[in-house]
Amino acid sequence: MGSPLTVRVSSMKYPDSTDQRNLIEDLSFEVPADGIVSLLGRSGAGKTTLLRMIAGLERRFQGEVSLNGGQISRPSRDIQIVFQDYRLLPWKTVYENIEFATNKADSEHNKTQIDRWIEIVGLQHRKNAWPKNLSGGEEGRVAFARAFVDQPRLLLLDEPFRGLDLATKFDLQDQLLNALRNQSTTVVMVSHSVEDAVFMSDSVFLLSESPMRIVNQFKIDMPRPRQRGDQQLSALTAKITEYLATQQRA
Amino acid sequence: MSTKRTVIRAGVLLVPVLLIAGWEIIVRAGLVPPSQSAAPSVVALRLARLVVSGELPRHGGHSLLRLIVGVVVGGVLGVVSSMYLVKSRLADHLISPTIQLLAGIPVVVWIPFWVMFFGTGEEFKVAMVAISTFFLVHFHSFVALRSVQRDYMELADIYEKSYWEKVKDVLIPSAAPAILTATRTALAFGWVVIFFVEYASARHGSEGLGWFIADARAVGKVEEEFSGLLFLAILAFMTDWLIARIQRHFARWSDSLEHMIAQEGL
Repeated sequence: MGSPLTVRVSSMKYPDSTDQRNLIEDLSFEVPADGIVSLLGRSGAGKTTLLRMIAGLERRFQGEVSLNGGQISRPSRDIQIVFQDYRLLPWKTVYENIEFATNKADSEHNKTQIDRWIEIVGLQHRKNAWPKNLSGGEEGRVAFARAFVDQPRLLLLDEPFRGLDLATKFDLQDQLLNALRNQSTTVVMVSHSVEDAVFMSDSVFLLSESPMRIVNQFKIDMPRPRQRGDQQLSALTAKITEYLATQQRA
Repeated sequence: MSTKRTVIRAGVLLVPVLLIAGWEIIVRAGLVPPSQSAAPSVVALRLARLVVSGELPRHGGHSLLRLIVGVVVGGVLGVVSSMYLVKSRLADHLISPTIQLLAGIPVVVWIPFWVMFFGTGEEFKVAMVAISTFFLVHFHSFVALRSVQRDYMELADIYEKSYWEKVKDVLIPSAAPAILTATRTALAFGWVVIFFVEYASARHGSEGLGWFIADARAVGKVEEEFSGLLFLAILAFMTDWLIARIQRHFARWSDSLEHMIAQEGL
C-alpha cells in the first residue's frame, strides 16, 4: 500500500558550491496515497536534488519531508528511486541486480518475487545478462523491477524515459503503469516532457528555477488506462506547453 | 576461428622460435664458451630427463608453494589494510604516509630485517614475497576502493545494506579487476624475489629452483643450470596464464577496452 507524502522545504542552498543563493525556496506539496505526481522543470532547476531530499539522500535543507506522517531522515527500503542512468551494478547480472534490492532474510519469497518481476518486465531470456549487454530500454526495465521487487511505499522516478526511442518509452510507461495497477505505490516523477507527465500522472506541478518553487499545478482527473493521443490529454498537454512558453517569453 | 586469426595467434611462437634458433646457432658456432652456455637442443633433452626423474618438479613445487603462500599472505594483508584505510580517515591520515615511505624501499633492503625476525628458513622466503606483494596490492586496491562511485554506495544505503554487505556486494567486486591486476604483477615479481632469495640463501640440501640453479652453476653443470632456468620460466608463464584466466573471470562484467581485447583476441 502506498503512503501519503508531504514535502515542505523552506530553503536549500546550492550543494557543493560557494553560491549562497537558495536552490529551492518555499516549496510545498502533498501527494495522496497511491497518487502519481509529476514535477516539470528546466534542467538544473534542482529537481533531482528535490528527489534526493525525498529519498533521504540529501539532508542539508530547512524543512521537512514525511511519508505517512513519519519524517524521512535517511534512505530506506520503503522509498525506492529509479535514477536517470538507472544505476545498475555492472558486476551483477540482471537477476542479481534485482536480488540486490531484496531483503536477504526471506530467500524463498525473494526468489519468487524476483522471478515474478523479471516476467512482468519481460526479461526472462535476459536474466543472466550483464548490464553492459543490455539496451537502454532493457536497463530501464531492470531498474523498474528492482524498484518494485521489495514493494516500496513510495517510488521516485528521475527522468526515467530520457534518451529512449518512442516505442521503448511507451513500452516502459505501459509496464510501469501495469505494475502500479498490481502494486499500489505512491509515485513522484521528475520529467522534462509535458506529454509524459500528463499521460502518467494525476497531478503535474510546474517548477520555476533559481530558486525552485511550484508556480502552477494541473490536475488530471482521467481514469486509467489512458489512450495516447486522447483529445483531453492532448488539450491539457497543449495548455501546459502554452503556459510554459508564456512563462519563457515573460 | 578464421584462418587469419589462427595465423596471427600462431605468430606468438615466432619470437621464441627465432630466439631459440639464434641461441642454437651461436652456441654451435662456438661463439660462446661451453662453460657459459649450452645449446637449446641439449638443454631441452636435459630438461626432459630432469622432469621425468621428478627432480625439477620437486624443486619447482617448493618454489611455487613459497610463492603462492607469500602472494596470498601479502595480497590478503594488502586488501584488508587498504579497506581499513579507505573506511577510516583517521587511520588513513596516521598510517598512509608511513606505508608510502616503506613502499619506496627496495625489496632487498628488507632482507636483514626479515633474517632478524625469521632466520633464513621458509618463513624468511615467504616473508620476502609477501612484503613485495603487500605494497603492490595495497596501493592498487586503495586507489580502486577510493574510486568506487558514490552512486553505488548510495544504492546500497537505499537497500539498507550493512557494512559487510557493502564490502561483499559493492566494494570488492568493483575493485576486483584492479586488485587482480596488482596480484598478477605481484606474482610475476614474486618469481624474481623467490629466485633471488633461494639463490642467495642456498645451502647444501636446500630445496627450490633458485638453489637448484645456484648448485648447478657452482659445479659447472651448464645444461642443468639452463634447464632450471627454463623450467622456472615455464612455471612463471603458467602461473601468469592462470591468474590472467582468473582475472578475466572476475572482470567478465567489465566492458573496458583491455578486457574486450582479452576476451576477443586481436
